[in-house]
Amino acid sequence: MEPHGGVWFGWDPFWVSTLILIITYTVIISERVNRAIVALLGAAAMILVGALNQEQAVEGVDFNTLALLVGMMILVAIAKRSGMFQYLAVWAARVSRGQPWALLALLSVVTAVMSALLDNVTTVLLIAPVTLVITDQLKVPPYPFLFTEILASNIGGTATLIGDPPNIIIGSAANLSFNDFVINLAPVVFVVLLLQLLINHLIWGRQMRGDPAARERVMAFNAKEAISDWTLLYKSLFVIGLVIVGFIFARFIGLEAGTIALAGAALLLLLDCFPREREAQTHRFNEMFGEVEWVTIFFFVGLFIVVAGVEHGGLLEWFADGVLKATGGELATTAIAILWASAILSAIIDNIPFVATMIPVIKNMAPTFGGQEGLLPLWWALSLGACLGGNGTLIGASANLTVAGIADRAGVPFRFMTFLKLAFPMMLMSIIVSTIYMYLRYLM
Amino acid sequence: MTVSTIMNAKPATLRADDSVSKAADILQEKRYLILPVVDGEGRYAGVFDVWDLLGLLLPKAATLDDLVPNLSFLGDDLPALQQRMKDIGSQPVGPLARPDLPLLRPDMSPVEALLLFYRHRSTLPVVDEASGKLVGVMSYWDALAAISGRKA
Repeated sequence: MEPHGGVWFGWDPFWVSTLILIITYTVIISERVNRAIVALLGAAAMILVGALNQEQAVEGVDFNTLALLVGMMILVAIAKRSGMFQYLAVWAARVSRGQPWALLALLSVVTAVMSALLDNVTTVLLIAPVTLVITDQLKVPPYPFLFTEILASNIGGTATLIGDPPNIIIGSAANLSFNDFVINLAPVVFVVLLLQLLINHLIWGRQMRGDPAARERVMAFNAKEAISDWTLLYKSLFVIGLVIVGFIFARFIGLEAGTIALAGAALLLLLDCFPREREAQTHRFNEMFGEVEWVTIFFFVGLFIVVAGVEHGGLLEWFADGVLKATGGELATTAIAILWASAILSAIIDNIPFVATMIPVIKNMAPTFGGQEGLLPLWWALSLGACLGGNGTLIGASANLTVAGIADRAGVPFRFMTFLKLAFPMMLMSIIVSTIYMYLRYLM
Repeated sequence: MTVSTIMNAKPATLRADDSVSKAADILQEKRYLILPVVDGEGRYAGVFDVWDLLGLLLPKAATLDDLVPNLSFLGDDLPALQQRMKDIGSQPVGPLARPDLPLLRPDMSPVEALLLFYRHRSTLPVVDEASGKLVGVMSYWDALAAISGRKA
């Protein structure tokens, strides 16, 4: 056996790599073992059996995605300590003048905007607890508020390159900029969000009445008191603003989004750590890096290598050919098929492995659709399906589980079926809107 | 010397169907930290302590880890808190009793008791292992009094 010259015993790389992919994804879906461990073992298996050599494995890893994720995670880990998320929630309570329907809509908008600019999970992790405090004070049931925040976080995250991990991978792999995402996805996201607000208003908002004394209390809230560190707030806003401007101009200055995010993280770390003693700096630095979700990062690393394995083995090219045969090589049919398949699958399983696998599949379709430019509608279909599909079930996206976890502990149970009955039709609505949008904008 | 010689053998206790307002009265009047909850046969079921009472007065979400950094945005809220005290008063303490405090055994050594006080910063219930019955309550003041030879 040659260690890196071919697959063990001369086995067919197509079947060996496909088998490793199937086993890896089956174990990931079973959720019996931490997903990062499974992905890394799958990656190791691809290299050990010779489906990939080490150089090919390293090439398969999208370091821009990793840099963007780590950079944004560090920025948020520092910025959240200023209390700015709480400030926004309390501000929404005041501005709504304690009217439950207005609060419902405003908290959704705040969640959507923050999820678009930062990440979904952190946004809901910080907004949901304050929402529970506010609804407790207002004496209204918290469930509708938390439910709409889940939907809003996934919808808002769809609008930008950095809003949701599937967009980060798609953007990096397909070389799409921050502006490309905003220009192409923000309009449809805006429509979906508006419809969502309307439906939530009809289901819950219009029926809720705040007790007058409670409303008065809410109107007396002092949002400024929710800021725990003003200096940190200014530093964070400055750097986040700089990073977003960087994203907007990334193309013109020839930089990848990952570089900008990590540079921003380094700058905010400097601003935050510099006034401290040297030892305290190290401590703070370790603390912030402890908040990076390493499970997600290494899950991505493993997954990229597993996907590179099946790509080299030929599975994805074969699958792309199959899809094209089924859709007759028609752009509109292919795009709509990708949109719906991604939405339904992302509601049931983790959307990240799905998106990571679909990227090379779509890239393989380039010759049929006239090169990279012709693939654009397919990227938008994949992003809309994968991100919005997460709203379909309670396990469809990490933000859903985060809110459910907090709510459960606070005595507000989230049940799988109860959530599904409302959320799944709403998710379908968003995909129908996306289908119409796709058709009108790209496929006519 | 063991825990049984130092402890308070006649502690104030609650039954599962006693109300929160009764518990609040005893806690405030006697300045106790904990009130053990026992069943009809005197078996230990858990404690309701002063922190549980404070927790009931706060929005639930604010008592979970550090998810809500502060509540100062709520402003001056004394009337609201007074109303809340009334609202929570009628519920029974049974479902609120927490069995998670470490237990002292009557035959434990004082140094082991000191370690548990040091780690858990609370008065602790003394429970007989075999019968599961509450036999007393011991505070760190009791322990210090025994060591220094003063009266507790």
